[in-house]
Amino acid sequence: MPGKIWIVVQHRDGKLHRMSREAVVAGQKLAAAVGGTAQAVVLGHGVEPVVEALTHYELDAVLVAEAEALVDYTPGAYIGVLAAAVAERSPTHLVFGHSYQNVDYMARLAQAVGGSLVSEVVGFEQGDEGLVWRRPIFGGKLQSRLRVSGPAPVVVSVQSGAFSADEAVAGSAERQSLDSAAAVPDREILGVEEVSGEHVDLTAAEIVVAVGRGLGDPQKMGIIEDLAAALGAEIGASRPVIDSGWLPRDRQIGSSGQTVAPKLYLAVGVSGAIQHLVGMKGAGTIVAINKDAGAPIFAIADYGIVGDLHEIVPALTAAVREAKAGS
Amino acid sequence: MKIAVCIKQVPDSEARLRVAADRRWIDEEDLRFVVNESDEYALEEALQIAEHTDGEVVVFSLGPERVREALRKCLALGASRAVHLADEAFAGGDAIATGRALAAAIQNGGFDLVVTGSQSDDVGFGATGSILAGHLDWPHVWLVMGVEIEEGGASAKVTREMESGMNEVIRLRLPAVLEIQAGLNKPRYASLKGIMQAKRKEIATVAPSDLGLDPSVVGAAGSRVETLSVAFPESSGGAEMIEGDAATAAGVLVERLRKEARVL
Amino acid sequence: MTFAVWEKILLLVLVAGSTGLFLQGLRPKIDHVRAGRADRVRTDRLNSRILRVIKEVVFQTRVVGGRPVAGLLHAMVFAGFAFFALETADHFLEPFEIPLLAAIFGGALPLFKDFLAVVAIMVAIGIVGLAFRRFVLVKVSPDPKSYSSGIVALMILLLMLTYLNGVAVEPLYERANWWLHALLIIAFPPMILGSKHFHILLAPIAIFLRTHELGEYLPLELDEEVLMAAEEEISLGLETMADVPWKMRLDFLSCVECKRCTDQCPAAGSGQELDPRAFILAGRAALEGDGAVIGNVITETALGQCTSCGACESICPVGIEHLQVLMGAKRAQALASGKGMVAGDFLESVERYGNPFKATGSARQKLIEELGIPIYQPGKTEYLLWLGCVWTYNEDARGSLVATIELFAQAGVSYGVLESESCSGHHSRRQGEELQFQTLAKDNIERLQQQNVAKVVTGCPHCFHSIRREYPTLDESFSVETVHHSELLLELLEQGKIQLDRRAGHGRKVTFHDPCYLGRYEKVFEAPRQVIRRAGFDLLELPRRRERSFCCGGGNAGFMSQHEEQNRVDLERKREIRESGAEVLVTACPECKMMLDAAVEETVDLAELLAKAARSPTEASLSGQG
Repeated sequence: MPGKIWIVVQHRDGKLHRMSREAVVAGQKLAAAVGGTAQAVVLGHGVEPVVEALTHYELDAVLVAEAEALVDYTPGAYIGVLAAAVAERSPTHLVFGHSYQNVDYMARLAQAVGGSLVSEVVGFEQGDEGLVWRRPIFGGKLQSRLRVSGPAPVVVSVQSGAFSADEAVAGSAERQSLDSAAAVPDREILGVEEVSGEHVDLTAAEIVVAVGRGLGDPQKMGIIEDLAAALGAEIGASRPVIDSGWLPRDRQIGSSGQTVAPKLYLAVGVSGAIQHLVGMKGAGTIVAINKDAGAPIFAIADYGIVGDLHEIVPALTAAVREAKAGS
Repeated sequence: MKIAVCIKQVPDSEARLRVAADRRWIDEEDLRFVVNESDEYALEEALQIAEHTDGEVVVFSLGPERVREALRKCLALGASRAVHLADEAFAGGDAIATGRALAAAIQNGGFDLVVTGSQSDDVGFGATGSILAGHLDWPHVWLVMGVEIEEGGASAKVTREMESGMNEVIRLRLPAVLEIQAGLNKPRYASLKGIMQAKRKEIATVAPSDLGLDPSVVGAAGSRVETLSVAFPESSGGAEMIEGDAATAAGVLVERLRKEARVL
Repeated sequence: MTFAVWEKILLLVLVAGSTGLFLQGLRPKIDHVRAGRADRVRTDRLNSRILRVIKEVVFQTRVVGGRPVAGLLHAMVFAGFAFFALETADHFLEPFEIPLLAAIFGGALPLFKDFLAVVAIMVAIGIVGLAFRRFVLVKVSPDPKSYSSGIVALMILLLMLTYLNGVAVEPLYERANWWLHALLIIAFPPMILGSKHFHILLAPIAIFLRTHELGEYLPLELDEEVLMAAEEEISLGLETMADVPWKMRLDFLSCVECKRCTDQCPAAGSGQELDPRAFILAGRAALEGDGAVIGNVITETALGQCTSCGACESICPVGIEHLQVLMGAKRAQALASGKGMVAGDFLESVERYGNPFKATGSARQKLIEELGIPIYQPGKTEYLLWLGCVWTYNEDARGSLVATIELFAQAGVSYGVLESESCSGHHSRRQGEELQFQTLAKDNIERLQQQNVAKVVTGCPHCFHSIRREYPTLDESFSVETVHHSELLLELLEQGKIQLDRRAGHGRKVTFHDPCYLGRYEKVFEAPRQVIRRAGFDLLELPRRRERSFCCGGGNAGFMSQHEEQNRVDLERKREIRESGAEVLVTACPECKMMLDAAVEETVDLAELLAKAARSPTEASLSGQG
């Protein structure tokens, strides 16, 4: 049976969610691996800019369910529309970005349509064992390889950053309409609130540049700010920096501050006291820059540079700018 | 209100994990097991709701004999009784099969609410609660950051975490399933008094037949997702040290981050 | 002066009435105290208790020590009261023509009267000074302004003035003056019942009954079988007012509302909610009912802010044991309800790993191997070096440990560590988790006894206090000599076993932070200071030091996680340290070091400071030859 891959996208303010752009890539690759076609699915109201963007990808079709009941996300309306569409069109795979909104309903969708679920995959291979999914377990300490049997569809979410949105294949796709009669909201939405007004939410940052007391002098914070700007990163700090008043307390990472798990974590002049490590050891890639080769931070880092941060950080900022300009 | 809390027992987060000989799972021998983190917050939230509504909390868990220890801890924290889905037939289930078993155990208990953690620290599908809700045909919310029971238990105002530092506030009819995000409350400590009282509380053991389920629809037999193997991800040693002067090292690092780690 | 019969009768009636009113008012207070639970023995070591009363009551040492100016004024008033006792008796006997003073003093009576006149002037100055301070100098005045205390002060002043008028060469309105003096005294006993002046009666009693040491906690009987059998009857800390023991009830009534405890409290001083005086007074109010202690006496928030530093109790002039209230409430939290605890994670970690750092035993093994630390050999090794969790598991503390063992090696100290060591249980006990404390302590006692350890040295004041002071209360057979490394290092310096190059410290300004459990609890104030001076550094003292030191915020397991977002104790202390102008902060506690790190240019353990000034053995021997 040829694969029919649906990529169910998430969008806001007429823009595709970053993780959905990655999901498109995952869907295209999956279609290539299993031999089949990929289609994007958009749910919402007034979604033309999103549909328009999707028609420029190499996709079989862009399926659009438009309804006022789909303006705000509710699992009842989303599952209702998608379950009806699945029953009618029999996709083999539904690919989602592993976002908070998608995780809220995709498992229940899998159960509702009599399919299976594989959550937060980082990759897949088609081989002797069939289609095998890879995903992290134990908070990323281990990876498991999974195989799914039984009736379609397989509902899959892909981990943020596991696929690069840059690798999307451009092309063209035709718009088709999906029936949205089954869009029945099951939640009354009372409003949206910011978690905290002045609070810096480092947990949401994809890249964090953390500065430690190795900086030596608060006047030197400028080089850290430059690097963070070049990377598009948030600035965090270890406790001594906060306690010395070099940065406000809402930037503290560690046991008495925030716990972060960004894609990339650059620890600059951070020695790696245990109180700090507990707040960041879940980060994807860790880079440590420190003058002390024996600093504990190097034990958990992926890449390390021993040397004077006052020389290395500006050099790194330049290298990042250059690389970004080139790409 | 009568509240069901589903918990999972998982290896301690600091435990040094080893892959089992058959490479299909970890070696559980000598491992310390604890109550899954977000489930601890779920239990605390349920206990607080029960205290405010003069209700009770019943804990459910699926797993081998060792799970009784986790259930005992929940009883020490204040749950009034526990149900252990202990039968071998429940083992090895995927999220859908496990959700089915838990739903069957909860279905006829007269519960007004199910509260559970948003994600397990071992497998981490983040799905069991939603699937359980699907089997019960109750509304659910994942990643709950706040709960307010309204109308004497007929509805609840729930705060759900969204991306980008925003929360959404919604109202839903009860009964419902709430999947709790870690950190929304401060879980209580298992007091000596609680531990002593727990010794007198009941842990019921149930098999699929007790729930009116055929063993073929739960556990590994009822599952479609199969784990072929587990392994440590490659390249998780110490740091790769990058040498050279500042400019050279910076260049090499950016190269590595782009090509190898692919984070830039 | 002669008195008419009716005057004599009136006087007798008034005295009887005053006595009656006083006893009637006293009755409910006695009932409150009698309603209390059984308490520990409070009449042991009588000599030391009597000495304490002489020191603190008769000589007013704490009153003056805690607040010199107000204390001195108070001492003047107190002395006046003591001297006036005889005069008062004489005054009431005068109508009945019994010349008490004349019988005692004979020819020296005029001299005594003149002396009393001087005393009366002193008391008048004292009471006016105290009232001025209380009601006019708003900034230092304890609030709420207690009007009854103002009236009592006015009465005391009038009492003195009427005495002075009475002994004057030509008294004004002599008879009226006599009666006014008598009436004031008659009114006094009923008056003080409702005012803070009730402490006149209770303070000496509370001081006499106070525990011998700061924070002397009674081990709870936690045998599971006993508990199961006893069911509900056993008190696991202060759950309700019914659990409050009689001495604590007496304490609540004794409070003189001077606010020294609150002024001394690091949490209150950093702007937090905790207020020691407030919870003592709330305890007094709560005596009327049998409500929950947490909520009525102290809030959950305030309780979580206490670092157990002991500053409040150590300064209290009337013998109140604040720490017992806090410990009782914390025990109720940890042992009975489990709710609202600030450091539950800490206890969980200690339960699971035997240390708060969630480190495994192999990490300790590795450390011992890497640093080549010897293992204790029974019968051969002199000192058991107790490492403690921070030195073992916190990488940042490595320097302190290395410096200590280098100094020991240089001085030829025979030392070794245990093969395994678990948390001393210090913080578990401070969290009220008595079961965890006792379990850990008994394990450690067994370990130490198995190795026949006679002397323990440790760099951690928390472990130091628990091993030295608390372990013996759990097991009578446990008897080891426990010293802090600052004491041993000083001894080695005195014996000339550590060679110093005093130029190392030349001109470097250092300051020393007194750790609570080394200083206030164990009274080790001099050893670290002497080590600093001998090593050749300039010691700048902090304003708050020694007995009056200000906690680093690390107590109450605060060194592992910051419980408070704002108004942090450690930041307040760091500010003080920075303002001292010192370049180096010396601590003698690994937890204080974690908390106060980065306060100034450099933060070091005492051993690290000494190691800087100590010449390596080779250098020392070379210069010895030269």
